[in-house]
Amino acid sequence: MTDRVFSLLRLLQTADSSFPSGAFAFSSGLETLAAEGRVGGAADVRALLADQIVPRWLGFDRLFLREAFAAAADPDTLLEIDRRCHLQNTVDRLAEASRRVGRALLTVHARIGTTGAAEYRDSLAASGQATTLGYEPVVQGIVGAGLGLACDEAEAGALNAVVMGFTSAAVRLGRLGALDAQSVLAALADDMAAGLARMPPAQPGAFSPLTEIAALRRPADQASLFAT
Amino acid sequence: MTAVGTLSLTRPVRASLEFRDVGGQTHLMGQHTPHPFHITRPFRHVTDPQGMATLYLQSSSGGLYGDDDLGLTVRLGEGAAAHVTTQASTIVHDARDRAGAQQDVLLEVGPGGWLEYLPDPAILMTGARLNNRVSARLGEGARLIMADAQLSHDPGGDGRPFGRLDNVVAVTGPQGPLMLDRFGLEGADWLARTGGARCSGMVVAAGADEAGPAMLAAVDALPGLYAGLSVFPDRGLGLLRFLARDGVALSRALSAAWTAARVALTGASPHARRK
Repeated sequence: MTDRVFSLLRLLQTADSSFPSGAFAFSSGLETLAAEGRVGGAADVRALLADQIVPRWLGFDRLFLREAFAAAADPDTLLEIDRRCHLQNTVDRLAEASRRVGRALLTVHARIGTTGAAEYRDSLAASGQATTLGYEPVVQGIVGAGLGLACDEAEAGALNAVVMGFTSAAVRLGRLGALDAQSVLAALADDMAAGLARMPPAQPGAFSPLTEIAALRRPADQASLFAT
Repeated sequence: MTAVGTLSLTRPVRASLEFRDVGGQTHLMGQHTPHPFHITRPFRHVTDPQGMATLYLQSSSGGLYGDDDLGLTVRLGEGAAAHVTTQASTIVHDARDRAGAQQDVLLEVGPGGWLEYLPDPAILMTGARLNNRVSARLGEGARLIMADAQLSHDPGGDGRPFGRLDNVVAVTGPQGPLMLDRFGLEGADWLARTGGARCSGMVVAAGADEAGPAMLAAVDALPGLYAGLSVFPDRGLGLLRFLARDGVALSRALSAAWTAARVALTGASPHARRK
């Protein structure tokens, strides 16, 4: 078995919906948009992915993932990256979602022995900032390196997770059928690949106000399927 | 961000305003306002807190052009209070193959100070390029209510949007950084990102996060607005984000959020600022 096939198998394992990352508990604002009548069917879901979700990941999360991937063996630098991610996550619901997924990923990878995961979990605990740090892209960078993936593979896996999570939420909210969802994913693949082929911006930034505000508008006191 | 390979020949212009508390009244004790900056005389309203001085910023040039490079520092000493606003929106004109305009605002609020920095929105005309940065440094117990908003204007209605916007809002407290909100996008992407809204903005309540829910309630009741609130009690921050259908809705949102914040913080409704 080649190294390439080995890393591909690890990527498929961790990208699978049965992998307990917790990411499928979040809709990134879709549940609110659907409840407010702002999302109809497949065309709307695809537009939200292309105009909001994918650009936000490419301009923001991607940069923290890349930094963490490059610093995966340096716990102090990882904490510093995580702190910057915290300061720049100015949408509280999305920040909380990112931390919950990141910490869940870290716990699972520590349990299955992914290189670097237990070490960073311990660094977080020792830093006294375990409740404010542990952001998803930082952890994805660490475990991507620990799994022996190339950085672009870790990026593709992370972007795929975001898109899959959003599409899965659309199916569960009744906005997409299962086949429609696959059509949306197939149609979006070109955009995703093109985005990953471009160099990221020099500094992380996010401007997807429609879904960001929608995530904030989720009523805390009403029963919802999703945490955002 | 400037256009690649474009050399700017514009002279940077830096203005500063310094407010200090003298016996419970805030006075403008220092000013340096070279062209195109211009200010009105400070005035007061009896319902304002801490002897607050109100001051209007004006531009004698009609907006931002080409590769203008403007900087403004507003400094409040310990216990001082100021409301700084603009007479009208800042029009960012077509950069016409120039690098794009830079606007750098630094807000320094001393211990126990209270600053309301509420400029009208930047109107981004066809071809405009703007690099906007607002940085705030707060002392112990200081409060800041600040707005940052933009309006994409395509006067011909022919699908020729602004060129590019790079925007940063950073707030630092006595113990270190509190938040950094950054984005950059091409004008052609604006409507897709905003879901068709012409205007986007945020109001930050720093050292005053308790004002957040009132701001949201006030804005959410307005027509043409889509708003959400983030609260970070550990950092004393409330961030109201909103999309507005048009400039009228945007102006109403800014005014309503400020009024609600003031009522939440002082119990008194502020006197409307005429424009």
